[in-house]
Amino acid sequence: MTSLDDTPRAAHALRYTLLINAAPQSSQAAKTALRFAESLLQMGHHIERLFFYGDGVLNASRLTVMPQDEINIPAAWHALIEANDLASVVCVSSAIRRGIVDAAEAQRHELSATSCYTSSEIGGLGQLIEAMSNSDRMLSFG
Amino acid sequence: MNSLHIIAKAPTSASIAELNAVIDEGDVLIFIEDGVYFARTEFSPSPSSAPRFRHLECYFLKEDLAARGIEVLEGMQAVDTRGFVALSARLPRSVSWY
Repeated sequence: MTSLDDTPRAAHALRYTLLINAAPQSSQAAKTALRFAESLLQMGHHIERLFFYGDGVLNASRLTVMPQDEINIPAAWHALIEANDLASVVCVSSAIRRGIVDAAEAQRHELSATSCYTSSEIGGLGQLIEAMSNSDRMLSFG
Repeated sequence: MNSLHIIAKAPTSASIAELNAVIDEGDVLIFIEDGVYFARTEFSPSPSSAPRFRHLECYFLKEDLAARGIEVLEGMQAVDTRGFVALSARLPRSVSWY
């Protein structure tokens, strides 16, 4: 196995887990996290996993509509996740109480529609812990 | 092991006391979002209270300063989001204050 220290990028290429706790509508934090994620990828770092928790799960809503002169943060997250093939998890217990459901959760709870972008999966806190243990850095945005 | 403190809320006496209680020598501070209002207490020509953090390495997120009409004053260091990422890479741990 090649040690990270043996690679030319070792000095600066790090693995990040980002924890996003804020809804896109209620504070600036979701946008700060989005800008941070974009920049760290541009700088050659890696995102181990995005984890949306609490009100942060609303960043995965594909039913959000914004005025034309404002950024649609959930759509921007979706585009970033798709373009970079990122792992993105939405906390299940935070999500279902806020109406963020994928096909499996909609079926389980007998709901007529889904609302979660397919680029994110609905999962549990264990996936946050796992990602943190595989990361060099964990940053929280709230 | 030093930390990067990410301060996203405007200063209050309670938050200043909490910061003072946990910040170690060698820690680095970055003020983002409403946290950039710390520029008024720490760096203004006539600070509203005695500076507490100026002896530490402090940075302010440039776009958040601009969005709030706060000038970069003498002694203040402003960074963009890439600079924020670079600080997070330099320090082994981070603490978010929000």
